[in-house]
Amino acid sequence: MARRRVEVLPAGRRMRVPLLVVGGGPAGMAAAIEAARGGLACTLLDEGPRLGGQIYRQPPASFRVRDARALGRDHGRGAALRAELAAAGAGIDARPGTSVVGIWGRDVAWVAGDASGTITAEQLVLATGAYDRPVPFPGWTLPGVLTAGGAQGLVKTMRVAPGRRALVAGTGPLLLVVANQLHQAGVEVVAVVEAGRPSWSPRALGKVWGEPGLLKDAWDHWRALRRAGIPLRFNQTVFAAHGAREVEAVTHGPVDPETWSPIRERARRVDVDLLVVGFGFVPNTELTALAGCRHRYVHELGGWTPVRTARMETTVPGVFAAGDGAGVAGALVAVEEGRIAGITAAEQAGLLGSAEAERRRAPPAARLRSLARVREVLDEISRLRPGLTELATPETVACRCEEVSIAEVDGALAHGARDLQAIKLMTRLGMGPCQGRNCAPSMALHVAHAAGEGPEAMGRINPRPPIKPATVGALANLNLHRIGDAQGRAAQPAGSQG
Amino acid sequence: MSRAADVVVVGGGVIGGAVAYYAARRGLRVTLVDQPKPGRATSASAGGLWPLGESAGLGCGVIFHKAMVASGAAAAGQGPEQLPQSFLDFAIRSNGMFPRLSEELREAAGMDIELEATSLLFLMYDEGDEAFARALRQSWPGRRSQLEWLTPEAAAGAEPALTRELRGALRFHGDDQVNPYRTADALRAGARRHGARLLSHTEVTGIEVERGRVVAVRTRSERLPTGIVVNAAGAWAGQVAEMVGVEVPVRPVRGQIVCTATLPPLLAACVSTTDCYLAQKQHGEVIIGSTTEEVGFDSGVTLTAIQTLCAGAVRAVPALADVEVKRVWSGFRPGSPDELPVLGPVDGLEGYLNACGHFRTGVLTAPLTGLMLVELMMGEQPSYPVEPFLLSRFARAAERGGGLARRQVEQVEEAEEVGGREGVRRRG
Amino acid sequence: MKHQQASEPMDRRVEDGLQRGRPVEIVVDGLPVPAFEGESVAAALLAAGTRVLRTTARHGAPRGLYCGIGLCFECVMIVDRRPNVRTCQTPVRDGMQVETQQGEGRWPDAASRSCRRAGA
Repeated sequence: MARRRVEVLPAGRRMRVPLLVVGGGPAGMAAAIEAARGGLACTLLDEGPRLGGQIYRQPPASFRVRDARALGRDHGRGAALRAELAAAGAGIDARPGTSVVGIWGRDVAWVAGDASGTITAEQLVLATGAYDRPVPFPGWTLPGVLTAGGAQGLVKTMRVAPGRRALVAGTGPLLLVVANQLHQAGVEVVAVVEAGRPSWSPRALGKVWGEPGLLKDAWDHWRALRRAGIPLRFNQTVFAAHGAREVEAVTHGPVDPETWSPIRERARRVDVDLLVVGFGFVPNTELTALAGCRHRYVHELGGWTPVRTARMETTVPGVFAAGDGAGVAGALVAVEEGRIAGITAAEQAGLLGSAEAERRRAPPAARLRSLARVREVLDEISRLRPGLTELATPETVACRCEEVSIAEVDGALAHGARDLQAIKLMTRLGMGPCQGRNCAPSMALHVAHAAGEGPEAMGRINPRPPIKPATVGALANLNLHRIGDAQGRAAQPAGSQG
Repeated sequence: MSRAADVVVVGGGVIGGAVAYYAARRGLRVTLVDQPKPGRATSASAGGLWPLGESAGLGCGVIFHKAMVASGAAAAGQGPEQLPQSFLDFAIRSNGMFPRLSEELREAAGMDIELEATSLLFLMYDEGDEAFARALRQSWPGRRSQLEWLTPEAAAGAEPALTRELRGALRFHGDDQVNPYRTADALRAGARRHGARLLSHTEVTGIEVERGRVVAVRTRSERLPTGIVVNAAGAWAGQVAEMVGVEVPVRPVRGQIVCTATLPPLLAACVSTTDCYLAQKQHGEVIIGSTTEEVGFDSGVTLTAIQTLCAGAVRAVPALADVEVKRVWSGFRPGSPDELPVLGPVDGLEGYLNACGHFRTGVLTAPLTGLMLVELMMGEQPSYPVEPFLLSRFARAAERGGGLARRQVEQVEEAEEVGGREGVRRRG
Repeated sequence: MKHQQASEPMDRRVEDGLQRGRPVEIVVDGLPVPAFEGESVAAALLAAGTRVLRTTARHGAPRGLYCGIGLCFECVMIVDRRPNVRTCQTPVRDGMQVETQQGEGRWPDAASRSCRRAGA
């Protein structure tokens, strides 16, 4: 039984650890588990009050689970992983409630409320997860429009129905899951509209056959929807949300199967008070960027992703990236990637021989290959097509935080702005509290579409610390024992400080 | 486009924008070439317009001085380096141009540069601060009306958010603020409105000189024939000057900034302390700055700076403790050896004009720089003497060992390496 | 902003599967709203049917929960006199004071800083 210390890290002391895992979701937990099994002690930080990340998010500690089945399959998978963590040995020091706000080489700064400190890690696994991809359309900022991830969290862990009558729109298997969860929570789901269309070709079916568990999942969800009388429509999406102060109605309609361009003449309006949108996810790559890892833009993986070896190592030696934070592929993939990272970290720390490490990596690697075939099928259905950029009109809000409209973005383009940074300075897009998370991905596509270039040409809004909210007071408490923040100077040798 | 421009301005920050604006407004055919680079000063700047403050060594000066005293590189009694009278007058003149410029740009560009009459408040934490402030007031008899001494009670009344642990405050009336990147935007848009051609995201790759005069500027894709080129390339001015075989001793001096979340009005004035300065911008964010570092072109931010600036901010304005930091960034001030800008012609080369090296006060001195450059281009007597700012002054001062300021920075860095942490800690 | 009135009780909570923590009460714009220990402020408001949590600075537009994971800052309200608090990340506390935030909100005690600056 692992001793899991839950108190906050001692503030104001520099710590040294052999392995730091950032993120306590499926990838991070799996990495910690395998590192510990390999004899490598590790510290695991997660910003949430309890481990699990998003997909395996736990209800609050003061809630008691009466019937786990009502919480869905993921809850069970999360519980199993947590049990593995507990059994993996005393070497895992898990600290929830702790956000990592920046990274300098191997030095990581963390914040927990008003406390803060730094940790120097010999190796790092960055398992920072992903967030719902923003897709702007008229009315998307109205209260009552929720991301699929947000809706799922409310239903699963808070057990609150976010509305009475809902339309679920977007793309990908998560829509089925969320629709079912809403239905079971008593929400009347009027339809699920999927922008893509599955291919029932033998080739596609052959690829998913290798993962019978996933197939069964999908089948069960689809069947539940059918039994509930909830229609599932393909090549359709949301066009607009309407309402004075909250969602009162939603317009939806068909899209061109190739381009996903909205076919507005066939739009229909339905009275709902809840619109749940899920268009995939964007990896959280602020830390890999600040750590100096090389990235490349991979549309199917959600955008910018760190370049990695098959052993999950980034271009910075000793820094691993695993799970959705390194490329969106779902919880099952995240777990296997996390395992590989943990095993490799133990190997590189000299605690596992390479033959043993290879032996341990083989099963997760095999699962990854099998899951990759399923991913191919899903990606083909859910790869975002450029027509989605046509949903927004000039009046549509592009940057939610700073209330910058599409028209203002187009105005900046007309004034010579050529990348996101230039648009940002001209319009304030990306200067709000979310620091571009909810506008940069969609605006990169919008601008690329207009310029006839790829979204990678638009650059990024460069991440800067603190990448998670931290107060002035908390950061004032960073009690640094050395000045010599590495830039241009040799890093000081590991001292006995902290 | 092969039609010759009268002048090509290299660099489209606030200085290049001002030169382009005044030149275009004057009827000259202007081409402005700008390649945005990470860490360029205009967009990193806090946007303070502090002619008195900066000349007196406030803002970054007192922060830097405190660090130097802590490390033994300077004596406590003497106070921070003050800039010469020629600079003070130059800065005050330029500051005075802002109200009219603000109106002009509102009309020409339809943009608001967010000019605000904040004044600048220097907080006195201890006896040293008090002595410094007293000495300032005495050394500027002519400026007495612009300096207002506030008792602790008066400071509390004027700025309820300030800490009560003050010996008082010294207010500099007329030291105000603006939105720096908005200003640069508006200047560029104003220039375009007056007929200037803007080549954005375009790098200058060479400058052609024939028989001692400039004849063209080259970019990757174009040759721009012209008789006049203005070097407004900020921290990169040295590289541009090399293209004509001139040595301009501008080097990047990094400054880091902590930016808070958008807040309801908290501070009416800009605030300067020995730990940091604070400016709440019109939009509502509080800018906390800054550092003075020589790290080449490293545009990263450091834990030390974040911790020190945040600690300084909480000390000055306790309510900031609970406010979230939205972002930390850095920029490169174009530093010159004597901290004065490098303006005007160089010996032996016709058609080349410097407009660089503005160090801490680029935004403040942009209007007058722009005006003077245009007058020089037209062969007129400039509105302010250019002699103190000519490049040739460095040749004359070569014997004195060049960079006084640079030496000071190096001393501090050394002291920090060896064991000056206590000094930094004390700032918090 | 609608809260539950005595005549139309609304509770969008789902009962099966979980047993909530201890019941508590928070005060929202001066009116009491029931909640349970462990819930986020946003969830408690949602359960009571309140989805408009703030209005924006520039256009006064209504906003509410969107991402649910603390990333979008749409759910911010003034909590115990502090503005810009993300209600989806804040657990309820008995007696907690919550207010709809207009724009950037306001400071608890300072008089309005209207002396700030006309443009020169």
